[in-house]
Amino acid sequence: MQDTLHTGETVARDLATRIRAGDRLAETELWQRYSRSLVLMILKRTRDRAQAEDVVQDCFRIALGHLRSGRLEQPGALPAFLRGIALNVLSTEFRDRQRERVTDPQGELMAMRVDESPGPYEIHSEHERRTLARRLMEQLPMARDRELLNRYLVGGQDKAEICRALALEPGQFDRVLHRAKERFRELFNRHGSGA
Amino acid sequence: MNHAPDLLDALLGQPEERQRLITLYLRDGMEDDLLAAFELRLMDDPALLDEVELEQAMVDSLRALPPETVPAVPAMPVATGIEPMPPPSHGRRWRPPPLWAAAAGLMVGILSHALWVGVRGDALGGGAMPGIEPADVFTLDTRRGAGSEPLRTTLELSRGSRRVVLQIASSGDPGPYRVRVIDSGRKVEYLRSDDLQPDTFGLLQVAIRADALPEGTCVVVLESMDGSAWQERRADVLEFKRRG
Repeated sequence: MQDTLHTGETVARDLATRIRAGDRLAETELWQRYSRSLVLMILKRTRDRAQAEDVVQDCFRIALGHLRSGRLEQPGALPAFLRGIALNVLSTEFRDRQRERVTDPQGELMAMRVDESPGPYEIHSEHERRTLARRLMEQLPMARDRELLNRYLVGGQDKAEICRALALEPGQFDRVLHRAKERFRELFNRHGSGA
Repeated sequence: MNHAPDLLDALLGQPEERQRLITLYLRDGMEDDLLAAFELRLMDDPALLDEVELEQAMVDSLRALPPETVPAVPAMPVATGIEPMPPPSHGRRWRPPPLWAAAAGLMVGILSHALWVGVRGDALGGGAMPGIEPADVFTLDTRRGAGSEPLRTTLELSRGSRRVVLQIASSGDPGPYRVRVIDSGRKVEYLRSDDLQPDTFGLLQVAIRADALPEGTCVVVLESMDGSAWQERRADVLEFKRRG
């Protein structure tokens, strides 16, 4: 786990240094490495994907300005820097209800949009979601498993409560949840590949 | 010193705790230190990011199913239609289950902030266990101040929605705030929630049972404490429409 952190810090430092030196490829790498997680964070707060993507666009515009001019004092803290900017942008947007999108005269962000690809679990339409959910439910043969999933993921009940209600051991709960996730992952992969 | 990253490191290495943290994150149940540490980890850990996205996708997909296609979970009876949400600064809206409390107890010397596991139902009704109760969340446009012409807004409730959560931007006053839902003649009060504090984004939240909402229009009044008296800051006329 610490390795992940140390690697992340090294990559962050490298990206910040390269961007300051004018390496445009590093700017694209910055976007590819951090945009997905930033969109997730903002999406969690807004429940609006379009708004989340706009906030992250603005975040990168601001961050690139700072990075190019070397105004990030601790390059290893690049993720915290980006997160802070994204939350500030969102906060400002909440306050101002600013609907006008920031202009991008150099077209830099539009170039980045070309590289933008949806996350592995991005599902666009309500119909797709319902299809996947139905298939998932169909693949859980036991009514108890379906109920567990529904209580936990949709109802927000906690594990202990569900175990009590369904007379389950914690280990059984973990197994059912794990199986359900694996099945959903498979369904999604098949769905994504058009199968 | 912030020890949340170290604690997070230890917990993410244990499958059960890892799952608990992911769920906690998706249910908005993390305190600020832990939330920041977790989100920074998401930025550097694609596997964790995949897991969180997968679970979010599962939640969204299951929620997209019509209620009749998923197993019924008995809902707890609710005594009153008036269900103010507690302000986030007052113990938040989460409660610690025993396992997590035990884990947190081990870490108490390390981390000064308590770590809480949340139950979404608590956020939408407080107290006991509202269980599975679909809710509609509406954010009211709030650029207008006191004295503005009340704006009439029609809000359409989802089919099967049991609760309505209203998010209202604070007026920028120091607070505390009060939100009331009243009839247009200002005689009947359907909801009153005192002592509210805005969240990080300046939003106040209140929840009300969908079947407690009045037919026709009602008025949502935002007030803040000025000295020792409540002062009205804005009012919105709302009309709730039920689908089907």
